[in-house]
Amino acid sequence: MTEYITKRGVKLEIGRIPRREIDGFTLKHVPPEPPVQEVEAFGGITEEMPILDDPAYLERLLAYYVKLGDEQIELIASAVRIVGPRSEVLLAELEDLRQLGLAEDDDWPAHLRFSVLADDEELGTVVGLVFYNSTVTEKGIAEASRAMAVTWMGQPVEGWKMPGTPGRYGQLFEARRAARHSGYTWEGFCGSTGPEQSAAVAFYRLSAKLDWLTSQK
Amino acid sequence: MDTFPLRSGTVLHLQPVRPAAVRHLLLQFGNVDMFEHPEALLKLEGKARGRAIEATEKLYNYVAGWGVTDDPPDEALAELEAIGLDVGNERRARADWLRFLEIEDDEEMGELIGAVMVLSQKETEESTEESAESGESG
Repeated sequence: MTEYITKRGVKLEIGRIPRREIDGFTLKHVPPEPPVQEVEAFGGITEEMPILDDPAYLERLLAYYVKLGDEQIELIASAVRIVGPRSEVLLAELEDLRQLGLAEDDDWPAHLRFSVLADDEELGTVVGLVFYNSTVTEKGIAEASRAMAVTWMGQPVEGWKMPGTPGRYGQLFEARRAARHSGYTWEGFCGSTGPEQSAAVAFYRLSAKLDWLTSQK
Repeated sequence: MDTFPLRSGTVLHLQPVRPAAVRHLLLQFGNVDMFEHPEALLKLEGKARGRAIEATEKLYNYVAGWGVTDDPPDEALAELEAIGLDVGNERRARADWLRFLEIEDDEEMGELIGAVMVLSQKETEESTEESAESGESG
């Protein structure tokens, strides 16, 4: 649990949501792909290059982020609760929302959206805290890496560059490999906290890098 | 704070509203484009049109309630009560005052909504720039 005080002075307790809900949400919200054009590269070979400033693509991308931002509130709402009594100002505002047909009394995501969270920056902070508590995050990985304090020739191992490979994979694949590397079942890994999951990924990344560095000697 | 002159002669004072709230209400149109292309609303039929009209009402209520800072004058409140409306809630009374006594037509309502949204977007962009600058210097 994490405590967070909003810009409006409301004290929140931030918990976690099942990792599988976040994975399901990510699978459901796939960003649009840009159109591509064939470009002649070196040696007469053609490559497909994305057209990132295509107007129709930018419209679809905007619509995607608007929907993603809105539905993220529904996703994380169950992990956020107000601690202590609600202020008179907040209660009055909730009554206003009800009077104007904008939120029912039991519509907690609407309360977060219309009243409790001051702006987009605060929304991002609260979403970030829920994700930190619930799943693998780069913040969690960085914290765990610092705590493990693994160095090579006096420099933190995570700062050493490894050569690239033709292979590419996403976060879910890396998390599954990290889980197996640390001896978790996938169910056990998903049931652990966000910091614990991040530590497993940090351990996996540092181990892989340390093994490679050792092999270079 | 920005101002918005109505055709009735009343000048409204505007303030930014929450972008997350506006996005949610725009999504209830079923299509984010609907607000930028309001003429598309006229082509809707049946349930889709009903949904869009309901979404417009909610968006207007939010903008009037939270994006306008002026309170209805006493004589306006008396008129609203005379037609059977409850003036006990300040924000609702403001929305009803503008809807029934000040705003001339749907076009003017759309312009008011648009003005508050532009103001809110400007504030969000300025706030994002400030955060980026303090992050760079900090």
